Amino acid sequence: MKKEKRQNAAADILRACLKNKAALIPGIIILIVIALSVFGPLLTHYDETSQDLLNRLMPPGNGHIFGTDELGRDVFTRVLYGTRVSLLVALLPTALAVAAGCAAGVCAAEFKGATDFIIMRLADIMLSIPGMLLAMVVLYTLGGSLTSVVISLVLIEWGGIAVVVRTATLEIRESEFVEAAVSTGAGRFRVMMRHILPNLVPTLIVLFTLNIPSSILSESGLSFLGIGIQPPDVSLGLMAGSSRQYLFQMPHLALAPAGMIMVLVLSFNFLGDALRDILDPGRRTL
Amino acid sequence: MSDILLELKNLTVSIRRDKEDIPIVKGVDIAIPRGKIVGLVGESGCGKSMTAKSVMGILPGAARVSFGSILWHDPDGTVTDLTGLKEKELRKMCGTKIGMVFQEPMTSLNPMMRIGDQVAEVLLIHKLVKNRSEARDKVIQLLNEVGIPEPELRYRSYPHELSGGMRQRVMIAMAVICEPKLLIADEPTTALDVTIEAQILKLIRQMCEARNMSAIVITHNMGVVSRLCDSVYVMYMGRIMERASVRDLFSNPIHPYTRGLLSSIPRIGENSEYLKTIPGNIPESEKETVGCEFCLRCSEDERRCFFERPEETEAEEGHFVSCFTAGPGNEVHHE
Amino acid sequence: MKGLAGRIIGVIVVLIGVVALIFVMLRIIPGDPASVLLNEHVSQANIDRLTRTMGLDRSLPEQFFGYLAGVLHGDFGRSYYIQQPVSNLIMEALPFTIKLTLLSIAFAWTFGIISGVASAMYNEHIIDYLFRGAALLGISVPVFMVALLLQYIFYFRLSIFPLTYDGSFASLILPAIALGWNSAGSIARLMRSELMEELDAPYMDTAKAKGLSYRKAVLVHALRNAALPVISLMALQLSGMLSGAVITESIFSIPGLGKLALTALQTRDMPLLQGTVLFTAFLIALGNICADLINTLLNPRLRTG
Repeated sequence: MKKEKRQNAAADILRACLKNKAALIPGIIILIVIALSVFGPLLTHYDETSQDLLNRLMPPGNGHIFGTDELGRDVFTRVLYGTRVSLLVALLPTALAVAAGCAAGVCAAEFKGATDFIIMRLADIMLSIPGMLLAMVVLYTLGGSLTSVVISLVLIEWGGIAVVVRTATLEIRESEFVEAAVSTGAGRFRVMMRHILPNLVPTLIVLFTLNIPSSILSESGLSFLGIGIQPPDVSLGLMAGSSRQYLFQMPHLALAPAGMIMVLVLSFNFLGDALRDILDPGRRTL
Repeated sequence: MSDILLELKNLTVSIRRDKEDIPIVKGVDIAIPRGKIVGLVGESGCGKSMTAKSVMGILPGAARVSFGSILWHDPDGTVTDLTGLKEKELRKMCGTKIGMVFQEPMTSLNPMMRIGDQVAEVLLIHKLVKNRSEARDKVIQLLNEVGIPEPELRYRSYPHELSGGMRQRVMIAMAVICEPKLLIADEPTTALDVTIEAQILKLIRQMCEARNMSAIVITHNMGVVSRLCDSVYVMYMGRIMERASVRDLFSNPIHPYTRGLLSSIPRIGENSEYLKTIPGNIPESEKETVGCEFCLRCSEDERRCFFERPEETEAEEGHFVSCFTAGPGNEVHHE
Repeated sequence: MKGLAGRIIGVIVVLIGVVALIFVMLRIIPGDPASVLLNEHVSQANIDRLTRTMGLDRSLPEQFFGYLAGVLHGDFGRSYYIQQPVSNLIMEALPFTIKLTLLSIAFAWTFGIISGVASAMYNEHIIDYLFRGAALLGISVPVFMVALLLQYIFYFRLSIFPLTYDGSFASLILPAIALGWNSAGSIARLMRSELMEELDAPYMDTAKAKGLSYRKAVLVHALRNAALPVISLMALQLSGMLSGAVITESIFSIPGLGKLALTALQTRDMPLLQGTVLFTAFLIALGNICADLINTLLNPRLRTG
């Protein structure tokens, strides 16, 4: 019975999104990008790492849609593979950060007192270090790799999410239906699971969607500087960074991956905006 | 010189929703005589605020005057239709010839500006003073007149530092500082305590008398009407149901709706178990009705009210009512 | 101003936390920092000597409190690689970052506020769509893409501005735009939504009833009320700007803090990285206090109540 209700809510959200052009169009673009990156190998007969030194820095055309890079690798293929990393980085650390931020925020609001103080000061500490520099500290310790980038992104993002979730939780706790539940003797855990968490869902969805762009941008920035994801792994930021020196001869080498990042980020931003309008979790999410 | 200052003729205000114009004020005729206070009374949502806002040209986004005219009679006999004015010309009239007081004095004053500056702004934008210090002197004098203690000090206050009554006095000062001919007061005392309400009503009355200023007072409160107004229009769902002088209306209410409004005023000494109310709610349907707007809640049991809209008839001299019960050949029931 | 004192104490607590966090994070590295620094063919005696001079032989808490005491005196330790006090290196780099950040803040504020106000005032008009699109593009473009595009267009194609920083003001313009682009976008978006909300406020009706034109009512009355959240956002953006400065300074070869931190990471210079990260945290704390002060000064409700 309850499960059915929740499914209905999910279906409602989905239906609202399908009706809303502002949500539908970026959603479709994101799906296309995902499809491209997943089925990429079927679209191209090149390999993302195989070098062809005789065909270095080829202009677009001649079987290479975006030409070849400084080692003769097919740029189109590499963009497809790089998009996989961007999508992974978009989803995984953001999901982890939302989960961590949600747990921290709900605990802070629920237990108040010392717990609240410690969690919020920790969040403050995280928030007072610029994300890029915090990531650099992690990368110093763990070295550049996909894993350390994911860890840095979670560290950067959870604090801001925790602050928003805490405010939202406090707001929900003050609402009448929670007071009613508490007054009927429902336990703290029950109130949390049955009343607070379900009502946090819209906020969490919006937070998730709106944090994806910053994850993608941070990863690409780190990889661009050569301190994030390391070759032979492929990343859009890394590609843009390594072909920087050919900017004036072959601008598409840097701009093709950068453009892909832009398309992804723009779509997620549009989708986040539309979801916020549809779900309307209030002004607190900004 | 005509003794009418402002005339609303067949005024229709519609809100555009889902590509459809929904009328919320339906062909209203109101005349404001010079120096008189006219009440416009009705339940919330009946269109009385919209009527007032259409005069000032401050209707909210989707609403607009779709029909009718708002005629302003100057003393020299020229008549201007405010609905036909350009935005710039209308703004020139607002503040100088028409002043307005709003319902919620906290949010109607800019929370980020000193109240003195807000009052002085009216003088400055209409260039009625030479400089800021002259404006300041005038403002302080007027703040004193509307009963704000220590006006020099209060000039520098922010709205949140004043009580509700004081804020409404500031609003009144702001509305009358350019000596307008007409004051529009939209629920001026609804947000205030009963004791403060009496003071503010008295102040509005004084201001009107001292300046020979007319006023439109919009309210849902019959008590306010009886204490402040000379004549009154009763409005229901965007239509005028009954209009008369205050004395006639209170002594001989004809329309069932007016009678309902009057009997729902609680009176001291009345031995009543419960508060009398008008049965039913304002219908939510936005569809245009064929018959009388009030038919669904009316205490009279008249078949034709559902199919036919009653014309306005003069029940007694200067007392008009739109109801079949008031028509010729119909007995007027009194309780 | 009692609230401000409390704020400052809170900030100090957080900053000590930042020192502790960074200190620990940099030291959970596997292996011996001294041997990482020196190359493989160095004798154990040399490694030990360096370990001692760097104080690495002491216990971690001892090291931490020693470092904290140093920081309080402005001593961030010595750089491994450049062999100079970290504080000197930071002070040399700071002016460049400040110049760059101030210029890009000026760019972001001007463009963000103007386009936000314009798109709120002409809501659902073509102007609104244009500015909104530009703002969304602003927050969606990677900093390095803006930078590379600017270099491509204004240096390579048009030769208006120099490619990299050469000390001149003109050479700071492209980096400032690249860095401010994102912030301009988010300021415009917040400005628009805040202003749209204020446009429906009852005091706007009052302003029009007073005889103000719509434009004047927006610029005199609504803007005043919409400004506060935007100012708060600007303080938050300082953090994003310092992040972006790492990329911008690297692309345009500006010897600022971001470049310094990147060099520190690339040369595995722990004291230098630690020092720069802490220092940027100080800058952000300072920025937050300033924003609080400005907010208190501008908001009459906070000032008197």
